[in-house]
Amino acid sequence: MMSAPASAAGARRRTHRLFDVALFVWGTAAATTLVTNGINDARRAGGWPRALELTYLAAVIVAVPALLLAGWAKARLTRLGAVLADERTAASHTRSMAVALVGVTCVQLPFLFRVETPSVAQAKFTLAAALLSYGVARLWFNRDA
Amino acid sequence: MGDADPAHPLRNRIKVERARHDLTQEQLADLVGVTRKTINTVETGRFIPSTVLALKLARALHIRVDELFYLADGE
Repeated sequence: MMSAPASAAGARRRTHRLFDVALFVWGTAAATTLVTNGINDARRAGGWPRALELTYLAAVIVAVPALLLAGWAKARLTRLGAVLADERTAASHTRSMAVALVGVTCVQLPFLFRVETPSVAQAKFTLAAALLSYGVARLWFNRDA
Repeated sequence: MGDADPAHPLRNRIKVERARHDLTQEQLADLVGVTRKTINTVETGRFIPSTVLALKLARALHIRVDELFYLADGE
């Protein structure tokens, strides 16, 4: 029979993995939502193309439960006494924010070449770039850890 | 990555001391109040801990901090 500390550690490990996966799925789905919505805005047409609309809907359907699941997992981890943030996570957050700034700047580059998009679409692309570059940077800085 | 970053001169004996005390990375992380990933990255030399964390690790492993962390030869 497994001892209480060992089973608590196992529960923490499983919940932490669930939290990481839910957060990754939410980030990807949220970025997809923003990009598809932005593309539709940039088209400046009346209706949505079928494929784009389906992608948008699927992303929304995935993003909402993923965010709820991540919130639940975080609350459970707190209850289990897990450490969610320390000096390494703070350092990787700072570095990821710097990467996100580069990502956001890169999305503005088309303006320099007179490629104009409606500002509402540009705002969505900017947010998506921030989300994606931050997420990718966090994954990279946490690789093999 | 299993080895220390060769670009950085700081080395440590965390893995050896952990084994001596029969502690897993997770147990050591609990003792010092950080995540397991932090212990892993410090152990493999990919994350340089703050002085506070270095002192906490040394205290948890019952060893002096300058014995737990040391500079590579020639530094």
